[in-house]
Amino acid sequence: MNKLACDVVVIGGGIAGIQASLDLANMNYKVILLDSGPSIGGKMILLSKTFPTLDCASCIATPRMAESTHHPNIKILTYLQIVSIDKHDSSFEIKILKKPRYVDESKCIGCGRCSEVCPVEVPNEYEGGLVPRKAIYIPFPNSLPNVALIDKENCIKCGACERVCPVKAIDRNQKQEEVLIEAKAVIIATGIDLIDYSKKIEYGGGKYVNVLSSYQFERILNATHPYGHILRPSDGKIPRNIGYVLCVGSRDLNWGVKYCSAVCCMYSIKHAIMALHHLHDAEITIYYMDIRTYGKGFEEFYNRAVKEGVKFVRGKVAKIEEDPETKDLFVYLENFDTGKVEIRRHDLVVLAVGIVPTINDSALFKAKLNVYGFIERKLIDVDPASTSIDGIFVAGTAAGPMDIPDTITSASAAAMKAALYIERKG
Amino acid sequence: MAKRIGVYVCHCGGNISDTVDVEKVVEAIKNYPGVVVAKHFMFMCADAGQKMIEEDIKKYNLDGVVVASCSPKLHEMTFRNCVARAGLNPYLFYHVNIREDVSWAHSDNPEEATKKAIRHVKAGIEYVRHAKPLEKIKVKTIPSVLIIGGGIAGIRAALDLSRMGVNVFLVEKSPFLGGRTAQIWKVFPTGETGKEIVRRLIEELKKRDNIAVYTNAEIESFSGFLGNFTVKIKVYPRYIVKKHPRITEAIKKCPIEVPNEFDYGLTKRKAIYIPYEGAYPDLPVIDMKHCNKCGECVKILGDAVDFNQQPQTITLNVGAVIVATGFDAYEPKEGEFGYKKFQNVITLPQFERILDISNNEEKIMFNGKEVKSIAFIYCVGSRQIPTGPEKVNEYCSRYCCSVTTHLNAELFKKFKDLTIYNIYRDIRTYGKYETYYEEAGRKGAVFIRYDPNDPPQVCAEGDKLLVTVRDLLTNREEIEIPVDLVVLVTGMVARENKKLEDILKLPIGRDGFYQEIHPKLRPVETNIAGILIAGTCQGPRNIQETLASASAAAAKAASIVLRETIELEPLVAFVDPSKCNLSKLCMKECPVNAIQEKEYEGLGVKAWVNEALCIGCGACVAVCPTEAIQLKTLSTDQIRAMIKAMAEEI
Repeated sequence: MNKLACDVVVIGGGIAGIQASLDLANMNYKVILLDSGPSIGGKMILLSKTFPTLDCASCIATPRMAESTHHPNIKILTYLQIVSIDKHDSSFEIKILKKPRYVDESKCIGCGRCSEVCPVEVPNEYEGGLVPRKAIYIPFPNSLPNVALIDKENCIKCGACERVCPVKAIDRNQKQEEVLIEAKAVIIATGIDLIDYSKKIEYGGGKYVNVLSSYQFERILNATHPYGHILRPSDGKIPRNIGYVLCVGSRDLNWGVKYCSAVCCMYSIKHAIMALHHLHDAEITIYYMDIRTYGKGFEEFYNRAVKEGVKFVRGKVAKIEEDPETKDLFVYLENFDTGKVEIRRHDLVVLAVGIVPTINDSALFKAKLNVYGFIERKLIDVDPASTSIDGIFVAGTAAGPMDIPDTITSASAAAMKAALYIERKG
Repeated sequence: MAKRIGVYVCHCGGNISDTVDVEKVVEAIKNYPGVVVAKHFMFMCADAGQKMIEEDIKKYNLDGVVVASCSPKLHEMTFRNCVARAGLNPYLFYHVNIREDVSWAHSDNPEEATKKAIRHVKAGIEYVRHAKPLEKIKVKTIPSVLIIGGGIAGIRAALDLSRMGVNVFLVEKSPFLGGRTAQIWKVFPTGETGKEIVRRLIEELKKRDNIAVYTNAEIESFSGFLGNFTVKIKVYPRYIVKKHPRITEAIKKCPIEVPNEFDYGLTKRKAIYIPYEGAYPDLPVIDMKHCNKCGECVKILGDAVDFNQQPQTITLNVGAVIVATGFDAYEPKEGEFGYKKFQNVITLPQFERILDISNNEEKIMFNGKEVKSIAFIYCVGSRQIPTGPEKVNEYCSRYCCSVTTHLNAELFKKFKDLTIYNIYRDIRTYGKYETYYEEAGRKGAVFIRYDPNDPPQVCAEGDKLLVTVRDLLTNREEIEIPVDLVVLVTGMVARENKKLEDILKLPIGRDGFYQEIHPKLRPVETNIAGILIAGTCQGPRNIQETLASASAAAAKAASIVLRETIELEPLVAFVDPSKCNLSKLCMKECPVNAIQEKEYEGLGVKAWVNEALCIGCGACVAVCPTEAIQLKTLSTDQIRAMIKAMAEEI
């Protein structure tokens, strides 16, 4: 078994994990940054722009990713599974299983020729399944490490990739590899996933082709957009009348989660503004319960959307139905402003899907979770990075829904606390 | 000027060479002035490629290297390190991007792509021909940090840094630490008092021997740069110079009573006072504005009182500064929702004080009468709608919805037959705070939504107040609500602190709060390297968020001062004093005030760039009328030569 040692293991290579690693590395601690996926970057790198400044997400996230990759105090391991985390007197032992990529990471130069020739197409999870990817693929532009991997489940072993690879990096015999890491402290930065919105049968998510999740719409708006333009999936038509349903799964005692996901109001307003910039005369209506634009510059952003013509309608959407011919959608709602039940027609509906913690295994992570499955912060009133275990700290959305600035702040705070924990032990 | 340049063109395994004819590129530039060796190779970044460059540097005694490959974002550092290993100054290297900029962008037109690649490589050669060897800028750091503001943000940051072994100077303007948190009745989510939180932090603070606390102190002057600042602080007299066992008695004896600002004037304090029990430092202060020097306290305290104490100026040297000066509570205008017109219209911070002061009572008493019904009016002083040129608080104060809904639940817990109305615009209990909203509703709080264009009206009816509001939840039905108390849920506003802002040249945002350098990824740093911001001085937030930002700022400060020297890239401007005519245009343009006047021997006063401050943006270069100011890594001569090379006929 491979053995490694460092000061701090950071679990999760999203922007929280990256930031915590950089701060620790800049304080001269050795960090090993782990990501279960094939690339670091987390959710942020997949976003189009960021609110409220409309900064391009990859333009600001990529340099951070690169910085962490090149930092002499940071070692990054990707595409792995955490097997166990054990605390001993003064250290932690983290056992991981590195999954085989079937591509030699040290050889691959990320040229993407293998994907070009691969004949297998499966839905691309990074594009919300809107477009296909190949069985051998680089997750997304700006992936780090920028190397390919083979999705063995779908690979037909035709050998096309092997023939074109200019550096002979394809290695079908790669085996999974156990690695044992010894560390003085641990930071959990495992982030969030989307609520399974297909559970809300009344909204037809996953069933009606023109009902998209906010993540899918985020991709459609992205500079590397899957369609090359804002189009609706059913017929490739440019949408003229988009409905946006807030609080899908969030603040919902019936099927979703009780809490507010904290970011959907703002990303929806961002989507609306971006879509208007692309589509000019399109009509965009946001159905909401409360508009929660609470952060710095957020209310101003909301006011800007109103001024630019985004319609805000206060009302809870009861159900969505599809016109089987046109694939247009009928949104049923109670409009609180008029007190009436209304049916509105849209050619595209976006669901602002709420967020849930990625972590679901408290036995594995040791640290206690709260009732919603987020990491519980033990000393929240004096130390918001603390968890139920001394020496394990939490950063970013693993602790609860928050936006990017709060995530960054909490990651830096976790780095500080991990450093203090190590120093205390001397 | 470099005369022995090596040029290396990469195939990138076909990514470049499938479109760009790399052999032709090498052919086109191998006789270019200065070039002594030119090669192409499959993977320049691979070990073999790097070794080849290293060997060539030694073999041909190269004084400049150009690599034409992928984006410099990927491998500029790789090749800089590579040339440095062979003993060449790493700034005599230039990275030309012929993949993203050329082959990938023009895969449909190989011929033109090849020409473009040639032009770019020639420009790269010109860059290196005009490049000068540079060294990284080394700045020695002082392992101390100044923290301005002694609220929970300042204390939290002080504790973190102190435990990292960093010396901390904690400077507080008022005579006591603890800030506004100490004024809060119950803090979510734990339901502790604000004083309890402050007390726990102070207990830790007392144990630290590397934190120097200065209360009653202000910043007088500030100079220096990242890693090495000089700060003068002025400590005003407390007039109580040591502890004395009969302090309480002396305070009692003081004949002067003035409104206690800690309780927003709801209680009185003496001219010699401690604002609340447990305040730190536990040494009273004499408020000389009100003291009449009657000597009553001196009779008891003797030489513990010193009326002749003078202000002291102290000079501190620090490597970084954390500004944690907090917020001010919004003060409603007279008549705003009946404020100051009716006695029983108060603000949320005042209400917190009432609840805290009467914490042991079983009823809420106000002006001698029991309060049985309360109306909270939300968004007072926040989310204001501009009506004219006058600046309003357009922003949301973020913390108030969570605080007030949590307060609803706490009130119901303690006072059984209370009726609570929440008159709001949107309830913004983001994240897990949603549960406070839900709980308040479940416990019987009434929520009424108002239209900001048709806000609630408050008038008196007998000894009660009558709030008239159109409820958007019931289709604008007009409701009249008689209540005993109206609490205006006031937001946070940026603190008046002009003197400090001028001294530190703090960047201020549109909302009046201090501006971080990047709203997404650098929330606690400012555009002045080494000055960090923590807590509510950057924008409204709650206690947990404040503590997180304080620890984040501490982490940034630690990473500056824990290193003995900071190495900065020499991407900075410099002045040729013989050309400078001191137009001062550069000084006006510089966004970080890095350019100053300096006496040069034999040349008189000219502009001078402080390299530790300069961010290399080049704004000064563009405005200099005599080309006296240049970037070290990209001079005007270099740019001209590069453009000329690019424009040359192929």
